[in-house]
Amino acid sequence: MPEFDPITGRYVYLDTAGGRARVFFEEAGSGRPLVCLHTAGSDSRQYRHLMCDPEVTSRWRVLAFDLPHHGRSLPPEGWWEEEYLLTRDAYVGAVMAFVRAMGLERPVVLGCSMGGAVVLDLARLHGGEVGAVIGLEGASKIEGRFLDWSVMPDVDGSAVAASWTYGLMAPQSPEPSRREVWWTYSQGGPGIYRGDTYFYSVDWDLRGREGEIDTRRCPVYLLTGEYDYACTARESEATADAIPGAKFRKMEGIGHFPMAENYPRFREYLIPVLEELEQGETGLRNA
Amino acid sequence: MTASQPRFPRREWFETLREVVAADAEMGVIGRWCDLDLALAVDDELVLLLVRAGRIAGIVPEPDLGASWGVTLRGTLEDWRTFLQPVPPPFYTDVLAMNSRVPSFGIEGDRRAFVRHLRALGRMFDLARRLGAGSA
Repeated sequence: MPEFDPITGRYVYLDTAGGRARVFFEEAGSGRPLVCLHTAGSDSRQYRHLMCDPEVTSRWRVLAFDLPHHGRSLPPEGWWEEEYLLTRDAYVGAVMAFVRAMGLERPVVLGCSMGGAVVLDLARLHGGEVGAVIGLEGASKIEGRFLDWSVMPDVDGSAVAASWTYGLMAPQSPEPSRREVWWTYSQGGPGIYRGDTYFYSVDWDLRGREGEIDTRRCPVYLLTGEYDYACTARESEATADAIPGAKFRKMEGIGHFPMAENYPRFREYLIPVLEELEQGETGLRNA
Repeated sequence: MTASQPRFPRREWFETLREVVAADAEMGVIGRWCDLDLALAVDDELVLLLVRAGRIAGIVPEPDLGASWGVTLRGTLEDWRTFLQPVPPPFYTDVLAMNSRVPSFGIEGDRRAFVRHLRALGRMFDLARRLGAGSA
């Protein structure tokens, strides 16, 4: 008998601002939907450990999709004539298109880095449809990450993007996992990492609007690794402080890619959040 | 590393680094295209490393006025020794992290050349960390 991973992958068609998109997603488990958003320039493979955790998948239907231009989701036709710059509207639109196309009812959305940023606007703008959000390595604004080196012809954008982000991880994280993050980063399309950083470093800015998030309708959790220097734990904590009812925890011994660089450590922080959300949902049903 | 290791930033420390880099299998794979003259500034001291094909081909302490180089990594002795700890504290794990979050540390000169060679230089600094900062 072949040994199978519990993860399955397939394609779904989404209507996005960029047109009709054929989007790849992976899923595992059953229960309340947990939608996972990958980091800038990467893809849904970052969540493979989470999707293989029976303690999660016995109670949650975990789904992770590749944004168009990422992983196995091709860019829309005409991509070669347009500079790729991800905007807040396009990103929020793509996530909500996935949620609606899949018929997910009040999913919890978990995102990391740019995903950890966009979940805050999902809570703010779509708190009725999104049941709760968990932002990893996210804050109201991440400055200074939109840079041009990755598209310079004398720079090997794939290797440098991978090496650039390698240093964002904690030294305690297992080397094979850190190398895997490096590998997946090396496979991003030209200019895609850069174009993603445009979203959270240029286009989007939640500062001053954090109070518009209603955490009674859509609970907000922010978790940030102590070794993340792109989005520091202090920055995430300041954002959580500005959102009434939001909860924050600093993750010791973890860097910018918690679910990928050190899943065993990360789950120590994630599982209690998921349990709290399950209890909250039970409370709501019984109210 | 043991107490008998040479202390950073003495010349003997860089000689040991040169040997470690030359013996490293990964540098053998990725270093072939890495040619760069890289200076490490440690407080007021300067050490110029001539990197050729991913190996440290020359070590020049206190280069004279006739010497030119591409990139300078400038930090205090404390910055460098913290960086070289086996498990450094947050913001000292990576040259880019220090450049971003440690005010006394900076990447100067041809910064694009530093980016261009980031993969090989990152490996070189990983090996430097395995060496540690040495004993007093």
